[in-house]
Amino acid sequence: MKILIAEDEPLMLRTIELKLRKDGYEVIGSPDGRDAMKRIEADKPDMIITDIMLPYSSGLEIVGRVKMSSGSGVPVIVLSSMGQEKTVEEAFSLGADDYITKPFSLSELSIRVKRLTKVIA
Amino acid sequence: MTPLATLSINVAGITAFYFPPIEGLLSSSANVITQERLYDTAIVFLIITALLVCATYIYLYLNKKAFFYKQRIRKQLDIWISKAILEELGEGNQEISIPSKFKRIVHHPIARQFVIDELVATKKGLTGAAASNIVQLYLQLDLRDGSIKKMDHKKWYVRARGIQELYVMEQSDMLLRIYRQTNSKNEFVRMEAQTGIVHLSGFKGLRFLDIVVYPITEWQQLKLLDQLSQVPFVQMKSLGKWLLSANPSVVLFALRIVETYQQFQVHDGVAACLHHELEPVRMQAVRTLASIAGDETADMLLEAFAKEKFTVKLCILDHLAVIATPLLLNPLYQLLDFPNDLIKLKAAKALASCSPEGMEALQKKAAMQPEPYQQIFLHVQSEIKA
Repeated sequence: MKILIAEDEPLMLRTIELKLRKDGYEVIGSPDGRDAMKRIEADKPDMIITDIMLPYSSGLEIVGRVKMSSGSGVPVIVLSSMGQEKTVEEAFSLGADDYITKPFSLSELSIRVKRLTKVIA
Repeated sequence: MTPLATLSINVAGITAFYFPPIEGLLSSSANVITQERLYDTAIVFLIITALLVCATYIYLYLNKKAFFYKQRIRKQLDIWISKAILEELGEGNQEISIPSKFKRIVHHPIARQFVIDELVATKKGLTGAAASNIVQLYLQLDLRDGSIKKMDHKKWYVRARGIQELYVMEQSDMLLRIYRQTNSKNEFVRMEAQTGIVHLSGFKGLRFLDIVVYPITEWQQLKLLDQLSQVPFVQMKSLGKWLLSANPSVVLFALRIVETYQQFQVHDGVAACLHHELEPVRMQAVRTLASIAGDETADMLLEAFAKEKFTVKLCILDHLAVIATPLLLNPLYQLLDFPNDLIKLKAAKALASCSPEGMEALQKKAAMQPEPYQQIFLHVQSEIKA
């Protein structure tokens, strides 16, 4: 299973990547929204985890694009910060499947990913 | 001398720098720059330009060097740090194993700051075991000492950074030193220290409100309220004292806390703020009082209404509409005759909120005196329907 992570904090991105690789997933990391869009087109990931605040294109734009182009087949988890409740609502209205508020624990992220994997299967 | 003449002399001067001067072009008149003077000036400017170019080049070179150094370190450190963050520390294994190569790298000031920045940014986004590992790494790499030293730095942004590093890394034993900075002269150091103290001790951290004499900005107040919303609530004994503070921003912040956490026990203290000398405090007192309204609140607000400025009057009527009871029918009915139309409208809205009788009274008034009450009645009626 291929997961794309869009996160602009390099160490955070690397840590999530490593954690999900340990869990047995194939992981693609993307440092900004524009790169994430390209990777989505090129690599066709099975799941996307995206931060809301990203350079060039926001997480919301990614959710919107993915849900429009793939007919909502690819699940999207949104990473938000405290106080971004309105943006999370917007992400859900665009078709996001789940969200995690920062700060979060990596095991929580792991569980959410597993849960969504089961839903796809 | 005409501008054209000046130009020809300047051109001649510049030319003279490369070629032998053209005799005759430089006049011997008293108003004209001499050839030697022109040479000297040109040389001075040339030296200044050369120095500027050199300084810019050195600056860009150092920046570029630091950038590529950081990129190199990132490649080496990122993978190792992320592995260390995911390391599972058990009972007998309390320390993360750090290769000596990385310990050496971290001694370099640029690398050191780079690692701290990365750890701080990542720690903000994580909780649980990974977050604990980041703190462990911060301590094992001896980065804490650097953060403490930064707190004594003469540059404010270094001090603010040091404070942030310490509280993000949960260094609770530095609480007292951070607390001392909560009343710093520098706004940013103060803000960072206040954020830090609340981060480390939650509601108890608000004790800085006892000592702060500088203003707490609106933005900082919102940030602190947001931080407080993420920690368990603890009763604040000094709330009454903060409402009496000589610092108006402390009073304003205390009023917001009372409103957010519905602190009914300080109702009278809030009511006293209706007489505060500053209008924003009085406005907030109206809002807060309405949110913790008791039996006598409406009377207090009506009493304040008589003495208040126009904007506060409007604010009072808006909030009376929220806490209105049938007891307010008479005073609000009387306010329908107030000379200002906006006050009339707001009073009508509050009247309609009191009880069905309020709406009936407004309807009767509109029938008796259609101008302007018919319009007001229809407006209030449409709002109620919506």
